Amino acid sequence: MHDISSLRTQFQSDLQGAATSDALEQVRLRYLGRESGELTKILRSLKDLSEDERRRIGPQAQALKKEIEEALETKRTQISAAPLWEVDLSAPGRKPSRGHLHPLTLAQREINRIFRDMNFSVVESSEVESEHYNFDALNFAPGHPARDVQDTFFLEQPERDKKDPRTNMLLRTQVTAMQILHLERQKPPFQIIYPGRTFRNEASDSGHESNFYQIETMVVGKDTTFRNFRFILETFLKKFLGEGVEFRYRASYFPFTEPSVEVDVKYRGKWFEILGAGMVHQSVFMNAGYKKGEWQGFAFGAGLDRLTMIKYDIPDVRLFYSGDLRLIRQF
Amino acid sequence: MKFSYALLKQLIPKAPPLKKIAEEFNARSFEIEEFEGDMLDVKIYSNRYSDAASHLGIARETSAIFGLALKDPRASSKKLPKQKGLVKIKIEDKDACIRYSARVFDIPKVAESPAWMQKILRTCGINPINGIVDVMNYVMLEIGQPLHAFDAGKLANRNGVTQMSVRMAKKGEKLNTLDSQTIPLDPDMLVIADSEKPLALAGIKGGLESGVTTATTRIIVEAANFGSRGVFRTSRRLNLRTDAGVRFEHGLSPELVEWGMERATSMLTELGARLIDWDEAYPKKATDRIIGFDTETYENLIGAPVTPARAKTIFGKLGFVVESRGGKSAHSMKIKVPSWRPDLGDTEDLVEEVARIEGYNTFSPEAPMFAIAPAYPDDFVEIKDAVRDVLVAFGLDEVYNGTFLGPVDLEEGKGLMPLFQEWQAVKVANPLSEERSLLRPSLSHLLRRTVIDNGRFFEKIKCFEVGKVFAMQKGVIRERLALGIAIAAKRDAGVILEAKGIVEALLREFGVKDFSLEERQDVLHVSAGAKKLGTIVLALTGKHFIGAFAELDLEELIRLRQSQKVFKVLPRFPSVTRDLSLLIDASMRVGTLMEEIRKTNPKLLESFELVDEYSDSQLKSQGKRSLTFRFVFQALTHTLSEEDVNAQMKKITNTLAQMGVQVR
Repeated sequence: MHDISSLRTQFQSDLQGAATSDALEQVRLRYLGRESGELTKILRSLKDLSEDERRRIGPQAQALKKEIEEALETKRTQISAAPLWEVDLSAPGRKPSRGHLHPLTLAQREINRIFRDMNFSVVESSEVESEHYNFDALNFAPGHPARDVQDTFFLEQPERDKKDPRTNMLLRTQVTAMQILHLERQKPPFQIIYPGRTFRNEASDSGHESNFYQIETMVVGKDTTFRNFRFILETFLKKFLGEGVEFRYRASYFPFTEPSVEVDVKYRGKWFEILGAGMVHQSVFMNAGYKKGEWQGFAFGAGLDRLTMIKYDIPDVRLFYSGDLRLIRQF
Repeated sequence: MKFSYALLKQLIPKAPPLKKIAEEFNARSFEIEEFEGDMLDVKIYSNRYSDAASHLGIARETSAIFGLALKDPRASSKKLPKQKGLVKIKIEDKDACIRYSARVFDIPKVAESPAWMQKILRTCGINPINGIVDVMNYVMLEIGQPLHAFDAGKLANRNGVTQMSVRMAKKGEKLNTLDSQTIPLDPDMLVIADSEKPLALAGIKGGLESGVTTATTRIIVEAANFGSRGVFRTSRRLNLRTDAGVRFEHGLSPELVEWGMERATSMLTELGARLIDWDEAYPKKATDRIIGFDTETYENLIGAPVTPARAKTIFGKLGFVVESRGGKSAHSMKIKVPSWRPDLGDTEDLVEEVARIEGYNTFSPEAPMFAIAPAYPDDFVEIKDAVRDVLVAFGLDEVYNGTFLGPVDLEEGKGLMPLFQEWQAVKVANPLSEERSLLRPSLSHLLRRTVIDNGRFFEKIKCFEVGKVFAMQKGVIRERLALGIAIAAKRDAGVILEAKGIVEALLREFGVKDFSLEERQDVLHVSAGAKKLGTIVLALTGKHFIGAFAELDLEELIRLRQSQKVFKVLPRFPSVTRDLSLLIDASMRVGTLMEEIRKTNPKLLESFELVDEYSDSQLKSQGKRSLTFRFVFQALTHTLSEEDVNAQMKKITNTLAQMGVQVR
């Protein structure tokens, strides 16, 4: 019971095993606890010992008490200085896994948002279209070179009459068929934007692919003017390509608009044609079953790929359809 | 189309430098694609060939834009000599040939044309040939009317009369052209012929035998107007594009015939030629049109005003005549539009003429007034956005593949399953190449390529595509909106379980009820109730890469989607979780096991999931593997007792024991 040295040894082993401040407190109580601490009991029992024993054990016990207190203090400091968690905060953060939307989707969504904010509806139509809706209903005269300008992919249909434009199917060369389709299904006034994949029979190069995307808008009302068109277009260009975007209008010709213009945008110091536009030709309204002069409006159509290339500084349109994840993961 | 600045300057003496012309042309009339030295390349729009595919037309535009005087090159009609009957014209097809004019000249010795003319010809991409042919081409460049000269001595004549017919070719007839090609003719092609044989392909190219050479002493000059559709058709059939053909196929006005012929006569006469005889056939004369123009209509369409005086000035400069007994009010007028502007038909055309000369860049923007009627919803747009967001959140990357593929791609992707039943691939009638001769029947075929191509850079590929797929069914072309998902990794067939999990999570996210992914012959068939939604298959793609390809019908998903989420009451009482580790035969299927457990229908079982699969060499050698399931019991009205749960677990373990499954 009064074996101070074995008590010391016991204490040292207990101390080593104490890793937290709670465990350390347990150790302190075991030895120095007011009620049942081992050393406390010894010190309390000194008065019951003989004077010789008291003179021998007393100072030893006092010395051990001091040792224990100092050792506990040192360990306490060590434990509180140790980091709270076992982790190296300077190590690189763990990357969360995320997927990426295709840059054309990102551009399309931004454009849709810009137009939805102006109360435009986003609508879509089919990629396979009849010659009637792609050309004839849009005032392209049959057998005329204007149709040549858009090199068309025709589809083989052994059982259909190829001479009838309503059953001669092709891959749409423009999304413009939507002008007629929408006029047939919703009465004006309305504002719509209709994006979609379109197809031209051209050899691919850095600026051209045989399939690509167009976005077209159409605004129809009782007194929609050319100046209104400039407002809507310029609002869009500034929001999409930045406030400082430089643009210019040029006289042009399309069978389905009158007057017709083309718009160029300055990119890297050069003018690039980005869209065609104009006031909707009254033939389009009449072909959709409306009376001549009842409504008027404007439409403009741009190549989404080209706009996206300008916005993100991407040099080759073919990258969009390459499926290269190294491109897509950048966005 | 190439033009010469030197010739333009002849017509507009005060013409500004080429650079300035290019700038203003771009804004107000035509696109100048390039200009260098004497040459400017102008893109003439397809409805403006009649008036503008000529230096006269370009000069007219320049005059209107810059307000400069135009030196009109057109010669006035001189009195013609009495007809001698040396040449007789017969138009056999009045729709194919609207006007035909022929003049006979005796010419001095054919020499080279002067240097200034040769230079202009060359700038415009035409080779000088000889003094006569060059005049023909020069007049075409200047006036816009193609001309042709025949060697009169080479034409058949009977009793001194040369019969020139404009007719469809006869089967078997041939023509040797000026550049030594032999063209087989057929009844669909219009030719100029004498009484024996075809002399020229009308409006396109002249024949070799009747061409003018240095030995020619008498010529017959042709100025004619041919219908655009016929010339277009023949030119494309023979793949023969000429300066003359390109002009006719866009539609020229027959009035140009007169201008061209008079100018040619004037120039030939200056060279010493003598007009001997002539003939002309012009069965249906073209007329000028009267079109109304109203400044109020203009302002209504453009949004900016124009004064009647300004409008009149612009029309005058463009060569239109403002009728003196014009419109009903101060702001309306009647414009006599010349026949050589066949592109102008209605009042909007005139609005365009005024607006473009004023300049589109000058009109300031003005915000329109829109009704706040709600926007029109489009299902396809919405579902595509929803699917994209969900899949990107799951960590997949979006790709866009092309629409075209080839028979080889279909062959290589034989195990892949398009959405269509009993289908054939849609063929492109005029494809770019064999590899792009079909429309894709599924997204999986090209997603397979995506996996192969990206395999060089990534160990694990998770991607998707939303797009249209096509097939022919019973002679009808079908188009469908589809979703394709590809999960691929090296040597890990587990990718199909990953794809399975993604599809299940997507369907759950969309609130689709009663969906199932059933296994049939190594393919997972996805359906909801009776509706087929698609499939998931495994395929080997390139070296060691295994890909799982899911193909889903998004149009079907639109119908099944419940986007409205419903709140489920939160449980007030604690749940009880029990884990069960099982030892099963390696050959036993997890799906079967789970189905059997489900069938025991334990009461108050909220869920049970497979939380672990384990196998090691020891277990493998015993033909076993270990699975751990987690069962969660929940009552809504009371706290579950141990006995309740134990009883249910006993039901489960009994069933498992019957299947020979050990609990560990």
